[in-house]
Amino acid sequence: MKLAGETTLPGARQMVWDRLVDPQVMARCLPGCQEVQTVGPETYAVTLKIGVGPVTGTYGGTMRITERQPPARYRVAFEGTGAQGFVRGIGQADLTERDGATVLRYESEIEVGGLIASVGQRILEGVGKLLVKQMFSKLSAQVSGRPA
Amino acid sequence: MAAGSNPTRTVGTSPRRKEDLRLLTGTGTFADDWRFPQLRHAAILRSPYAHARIARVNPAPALALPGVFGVITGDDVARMSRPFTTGMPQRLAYYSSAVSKVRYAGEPVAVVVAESRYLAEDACELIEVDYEPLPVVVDARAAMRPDAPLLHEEVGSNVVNHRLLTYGDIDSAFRDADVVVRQDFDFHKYSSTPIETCVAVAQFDAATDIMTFWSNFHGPYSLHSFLAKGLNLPENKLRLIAPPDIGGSFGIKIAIVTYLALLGVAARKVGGTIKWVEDRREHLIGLSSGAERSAHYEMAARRDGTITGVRARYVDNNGAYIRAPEPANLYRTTGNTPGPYRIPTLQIDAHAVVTNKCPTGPNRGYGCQQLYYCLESMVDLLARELKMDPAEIRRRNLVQADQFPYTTPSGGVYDSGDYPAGLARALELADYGALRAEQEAARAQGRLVGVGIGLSVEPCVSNMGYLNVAFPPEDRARRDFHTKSGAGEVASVKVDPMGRVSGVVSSAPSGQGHDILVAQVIADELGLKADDLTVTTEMDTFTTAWTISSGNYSSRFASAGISAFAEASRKLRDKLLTIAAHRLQVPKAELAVAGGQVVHDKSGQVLSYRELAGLAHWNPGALPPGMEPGLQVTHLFNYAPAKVVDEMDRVNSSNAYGFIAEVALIELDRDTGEINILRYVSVHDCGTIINPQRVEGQVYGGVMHGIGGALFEELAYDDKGQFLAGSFMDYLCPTAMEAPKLEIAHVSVPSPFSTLGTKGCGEGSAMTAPAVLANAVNDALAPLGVRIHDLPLSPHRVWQALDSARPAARPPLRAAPVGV
Repeated sequence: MKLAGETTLPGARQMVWDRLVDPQVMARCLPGCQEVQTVGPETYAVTLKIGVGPVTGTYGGTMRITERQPPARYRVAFEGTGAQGFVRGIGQADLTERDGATVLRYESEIEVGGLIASVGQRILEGVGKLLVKQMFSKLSAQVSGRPA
Repeated sequence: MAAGSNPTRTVGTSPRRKEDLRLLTGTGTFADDWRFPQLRHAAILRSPYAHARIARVNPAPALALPGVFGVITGDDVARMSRPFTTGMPQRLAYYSSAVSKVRYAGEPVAVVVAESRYLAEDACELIEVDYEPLPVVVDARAAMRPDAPLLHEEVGSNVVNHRLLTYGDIDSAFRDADVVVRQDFDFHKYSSTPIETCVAVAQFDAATDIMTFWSNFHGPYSLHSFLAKGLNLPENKLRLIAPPDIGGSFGIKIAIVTYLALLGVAARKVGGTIKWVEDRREHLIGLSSGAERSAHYEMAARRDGTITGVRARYVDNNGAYIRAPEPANLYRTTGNTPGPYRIPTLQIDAHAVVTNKCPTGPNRGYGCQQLYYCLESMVDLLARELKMDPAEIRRRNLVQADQFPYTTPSGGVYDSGDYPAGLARALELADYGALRAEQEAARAQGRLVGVGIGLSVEPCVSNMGYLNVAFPPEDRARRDFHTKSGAGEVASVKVDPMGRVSGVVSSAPSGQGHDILVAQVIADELGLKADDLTVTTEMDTFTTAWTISSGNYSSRFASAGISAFAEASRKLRDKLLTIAAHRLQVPKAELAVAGGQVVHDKSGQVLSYRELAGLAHWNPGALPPGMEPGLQVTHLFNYAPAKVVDEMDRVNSSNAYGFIAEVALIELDRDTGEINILRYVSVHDCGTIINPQRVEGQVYGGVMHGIGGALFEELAYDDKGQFLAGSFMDYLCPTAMEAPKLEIAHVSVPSPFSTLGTKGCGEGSAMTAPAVLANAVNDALAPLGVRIHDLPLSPHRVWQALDSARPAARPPLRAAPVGV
């Protein structure tokens, strides 16, 4: 599954960048995030509880920042497993400034296996987009200082 | 009155169904209805990866859960069972669960045995498995490439079986042909989804070493040997018990045998009585399906439409393992390769290929839907090439009525038929001329209306000998080669001490209603009413008489099973008449059976079965000297034409051959690609019809399975080997709403090889419908100059074909919105 798109966040690029790479901010923004722990250089252990249609599961895994060009781009690789299967993939975010706000373009390629793949394929992309939307809405709140 | 004639014959009528009351009131006994004391429950942990090495399995967290009795892993399976045998020269290690490596998404990795299914499922989630993902291959043609990921390293290739079968001078046929048509086809992966999933209860008695399974299995026949070998058990220590009611199988449940083996390991290791009920997702992801086939066909013909040769390359995608009877999807059709046509030369280049998908097996029509989809499409292509009518080109090539029994170049012995009459009946019922006129009128209005014709020869009662085609002649010539042949079935009929008659069936039927057919046949042979009989279909391999080929597969019951019952009944009748002749002191030839008694017309004397049974059971001293007491017969019927495969690879792969001629009228929706079936005509020759209602039921079921396969159903995978059709939301089965009104007729020609002239009809239209519908769709598309040669004929695929035919100036598609 490929997800790509863009969103505009209020605030200067450097400020958005700082939030984006702050594990504690990400813990608040990632939908269903239970925990983010720094386990090594650029490497975080993440626990997410996500529901896709009828399938809800807890996924434990790692997220690694594979490339960092402050404040313009970063790339991540992630993988997680849970009782209902696995998820793994790569993502990239590019930040540009426009009219005092920051435009975030993202591309992600995600592979899902197990129960979710076999019963949730129809809705997987929709759920993926929804989760991304939730994440950016929370990030937007973090950036603007409004409550999420 | 001659012996056996019966003025109240029930064969050819449809007595009231006996199972309806219990089924409609929820009082049937299916496998899940059995109750056992202190039952333990199993849940299966399955691989989320399509191809991965198993680095580590840690069952400890699951075992720590109170109420968990034990966990079985691949190590246990490797230690406590043996790889299953495969019906081909190439050996590959196939166990009931993954051992050190998973090869398809959904493959069993571990089993938890616990005090409830809930607990077992929860415990499965606690098992820690470390997978090391490997490259995946799901497409059979891709799997054949030298650089493809290897599924079975010890084999060294993903092509695990290959035979080149040549019948006649195929090269000359193509050299001398006026016209040759060529086409590639892709036949997809689907199943017939029985309404009841698999159920198995396993128990191992350490004192006697007897392993017992209560299960809605599809068998027992050779699967009993297969399972015994896999579990390392002598066959007399393996007991299989089937319930009186089974909710469908269609060949799909044959695959339960590997799960029986897995539960057998669990029963041995953990102890107790262990039950597993397959859930629907497990059924779809991890049981079985028909094989996908990528085929290339070439057909040689003369200008007048006479087909002179067919060359075909079959590439079957058998999934991750070859599970018996695979790779027989390639070979079950050997004898009927030319279908209903007189095609003098044939060549089949057959490949069985393993990929990272669920293993395949028989699916209603086994091998035939692939065969006829391609063959009947080729006949249409030839007709188009020669600008002939598709009905006319078929008529010219049909085997003629006076040619039966007809031997095909590949060794099939077609027992009986009148194919020209069958086709004529279908065209007449469809009013073919009027259909074509209607089509012209519709085309003039810009509508896309198509007429499709499909014919098939329905092979019934597999001759086990065909399995040996998977081996080359030099292997088969070896002294230690296990040569197979035969197609037997056993019937038991007995008269109790009060003179009432019962039959015991050894086919473990899965909903076909074998009991009423048996009652009808015994009733006619013994001069009784079908309602007076008791027929048992429960199966216990320890107590029911059966043979290595017993079972309800390859449309064999109405022919092999019914022949066995007719013969057993006749033996019993002869004994009744012998006793009566002795008692009345009259010649046996003057006696007849009628109305539950033996009648001597000349003297007006009668002896009731009750009196005769009384003698046989209570007073054997009064029987003719030397006669065995009692009144019961167990008869094993075997088909004489079931011979071994010869050195030229010719084999009579089945023993009865039905015929089907179908015509469909369809219309395509230009905007959505939807296919609407407007008419569906189905004409069958299944020989003598025992029970017209049961035959009609088989025709309906076959057509619906064929329509489901052709239009809706696909066990789809993504290119990473992830299974995408894990529920009935994702795997679309046709419902009553999608059922066309069927127009059914029969042109019956009795078989000379079965006792009552019966042939089979259990798979029938399931093998024809994809061909009929594909031909109809391509006929509808013809004015646009596009064709479709892949299945399923989903609206999307049809729409793509329609779209590709649209003028280049078509309006651009609106770009799909991206992102949030």
